[in-house]
Amino acid sequence: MKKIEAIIKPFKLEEVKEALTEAGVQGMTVTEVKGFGRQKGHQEIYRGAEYVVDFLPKIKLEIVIPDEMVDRVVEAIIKSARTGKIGDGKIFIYSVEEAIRIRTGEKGEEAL
Amino acid sequence: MLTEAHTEEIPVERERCFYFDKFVKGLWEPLFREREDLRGRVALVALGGYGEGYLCAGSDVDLLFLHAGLPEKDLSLFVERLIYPLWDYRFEVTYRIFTPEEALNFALEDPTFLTALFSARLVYGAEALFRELAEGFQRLVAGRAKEIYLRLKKFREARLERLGEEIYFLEPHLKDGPGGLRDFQFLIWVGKVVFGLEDLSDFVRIGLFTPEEELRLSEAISFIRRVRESLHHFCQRKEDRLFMEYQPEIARRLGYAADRTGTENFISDLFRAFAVIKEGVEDLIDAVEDLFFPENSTKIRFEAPVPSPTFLKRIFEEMARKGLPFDRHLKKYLRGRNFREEELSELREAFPLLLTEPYSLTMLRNMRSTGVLYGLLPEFRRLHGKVQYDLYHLYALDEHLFLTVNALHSLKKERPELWERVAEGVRELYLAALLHDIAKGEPDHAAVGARESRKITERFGLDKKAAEEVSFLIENHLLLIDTALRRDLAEERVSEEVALRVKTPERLAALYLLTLADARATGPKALTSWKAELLEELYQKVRKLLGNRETVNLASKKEALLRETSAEIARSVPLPQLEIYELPVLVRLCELVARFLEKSPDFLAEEVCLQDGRSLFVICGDRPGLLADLCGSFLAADFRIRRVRAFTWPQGVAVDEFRLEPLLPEADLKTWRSIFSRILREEVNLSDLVNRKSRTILHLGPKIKWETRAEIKLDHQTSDFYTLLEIYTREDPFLLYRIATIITQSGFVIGKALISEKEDMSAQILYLQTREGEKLSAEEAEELRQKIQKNLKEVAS
Repeated sequence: MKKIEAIIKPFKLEEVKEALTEAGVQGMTVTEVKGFGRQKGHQEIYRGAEYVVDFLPKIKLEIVIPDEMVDRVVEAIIKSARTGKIGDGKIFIYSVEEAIRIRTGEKGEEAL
Repeated sequence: MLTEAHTEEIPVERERCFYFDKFVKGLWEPLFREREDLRGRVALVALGGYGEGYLCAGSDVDLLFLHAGLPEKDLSLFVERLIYPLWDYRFEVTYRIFTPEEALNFALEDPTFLTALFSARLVYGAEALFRELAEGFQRLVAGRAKEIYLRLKKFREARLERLGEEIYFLEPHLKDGPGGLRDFQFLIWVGKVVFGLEDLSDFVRIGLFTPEEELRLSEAISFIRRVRESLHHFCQRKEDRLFMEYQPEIARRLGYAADRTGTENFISDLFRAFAVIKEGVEDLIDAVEDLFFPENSTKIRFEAPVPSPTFLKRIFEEMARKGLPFDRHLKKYLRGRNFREEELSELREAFPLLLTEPYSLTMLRNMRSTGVLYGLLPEFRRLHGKVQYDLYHLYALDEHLFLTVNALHSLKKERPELWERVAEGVRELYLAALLHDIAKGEPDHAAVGARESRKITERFGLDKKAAEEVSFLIENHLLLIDTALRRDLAEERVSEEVALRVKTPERLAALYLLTLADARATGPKALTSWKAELLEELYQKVRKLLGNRETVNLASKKEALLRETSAEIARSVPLPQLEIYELPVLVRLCELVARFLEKSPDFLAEEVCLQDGRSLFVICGDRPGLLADLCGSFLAADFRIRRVRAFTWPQGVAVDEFRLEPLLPEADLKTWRSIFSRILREEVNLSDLVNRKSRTILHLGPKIKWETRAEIKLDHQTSDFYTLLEIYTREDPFLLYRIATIITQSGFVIGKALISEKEDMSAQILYLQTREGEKLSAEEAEELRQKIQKNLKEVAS
């Protein structure tokens, strides 16, 4: 099992969610986060209004999936989240040791 | 000590209580028979809810073991005989062991115990002992009425401070919340302490409540008790908070329809019950304080004996301006009357301005509780206590609308710069705040609400323009937040669209204030700083666009364009081109772009007549270096460029206008087409071609050398999306080509270009971005400027 963590632009959430559902993903966790990479903040823009933004709003998506799905899912995220402009985000992949469904106690891929 | 009036059937809690009493008797009677000497010297007294005769499933059992000074070992017989079985049955038992004297002393020290004694009831045992306690308690309380009242009041205030003053929370606390069971207890206790009353009917007899009020109170408390019993039963424990997940189930158990409407009706009824009890408590507090503190009264009194149209206006105006409450006589009067049209007329006329007064929230709430609101706005009747089920809404719908109005007051202080911009439109903004969700629950509630609002604003005497303004704000009250969260703010087009919709900076500010107020009135999670930042970003971008141009006419031009061509294409027209060109030209451009997208030729080029002459429009797939290629191609075909207005449409299509002038009489557009085709297919080395041409053409121009006065400016502020490069210099046919080439070689992209020549000077404004779609950094821009400066000098020499 692998955990996919994707940082994407806020307005892409719906599109990515649809793409993931189509790719067979059944659940996901979404958090509102702030961050920066090489995309610059908006210091220049709002100078007149004394408004400085260093950390830009992004969305973090987390999903845990069976190993076989990883390539498909990563591709779905890339396709739907990409705009070609800077700040499109990143995807990280982690190994998952165990997964358990609280309600039933199921373990492993059954729990996903 | 407490009896209940007006119940038809015995509720479960009472039955349970009855069986519990029997249970106690069954345990103690054998003990008494063993030890007749102890009979008459010990009693079990029930306190709290059990004392009142209600034993809710899973509730605490609050007990007092009353004894006449028994030794430890005898007492423990009775205590253990009862407590152990109760623990075995998993009851939560709190108990104390006192003689009557000890109990009364303790009551003086501990306010909770004092109030618990109010509901004391003998369950089993020595009656004389209990009487001693009861009488002692009466004596204790008598003569301390004021002190006890104040203590009870303080408790209530502390409780409400924890839980909130207003009823309309969506996960109400049945016991501790405003208008809940504790509030009802407060009512009864205060009646007892101050006036010596036993039950609700006593309140009627002394004129504190009318028979109708008593009936409503009685029904309200029965209902809340039933809800609580049902909740405890469902949760199998003492849960007093009616969480959202429980609401549908409880609604069903109480006989409401098993769907969303049923649940909503249930909660609405519950809110109404809370409201009745809360009103009753407030009326009582009012009466008591008149008694104890007559000098303190800063309430609005019932003065004018003959109500006139001015009467309603006057009292609500005072309330809205000063925040003073009504005294209970005035409240009762207002509640009892159905006001006629004439009586409401002045209030109605003044209403829009009253909304802008600092305490308009108090005014609105009082209008609601007295019913006057529905004379002005019958639409609010169906909104009363209406529940909205989603993650963010904490309040019922009418309360939410009132709170939105109130939020505007705070925003006045927090965002003065926005407020200033609104200027004339304040009245409209407040009305929009009050009405914005009036059609909530219907699909597309913003549009429906906007329509409904027109009828309503008419009623308040607003002229057509003002009514339109209110309607616009309501229709678009979700525009900013939806755009900020769901659209790509890095796209200039997105901001342009909002700018066209909103049209003026005043409206933008008003809409932004409405958005902020709406979020605040929804709940704390509605506008996190994460969302607020996106919203602010959008606001600043749109504001800037609006600041630079006259958008009102552009909007109507766009609408006309939408009528002539497909919506998708029409919406792609960049704002500046919408500004520059007349409708027929725009239509033609749209047609050309549509054809280009459909047929995918290398490029399309057409001469179009503008008001000031003929221009060549080139439609082509945008890519880095395109402008340089185009400039080079014209030079190679013996044309010079007098003017360029180049823009890129969102589909990645460059739509560039060139005003050309032949350098040689043979210059021919057919030649140009073929050259440009070959450039696009990379069949030709453009720089070689241009170099050859430059040698030829240089021999044609004037031989007089002028001083080169080149001015190169970099502007990082005017646009949120591009870095502007402005070059003012002596005109030269090859200038643009060279500069465009340098820019492309430096790795940048020209998104827009405005170039014109006047006499011998050339002005070039180029909108640049990095390949990644961002503005240039200060260093990148400076480096570019130096490169260009160097190049200009080289050429001049």
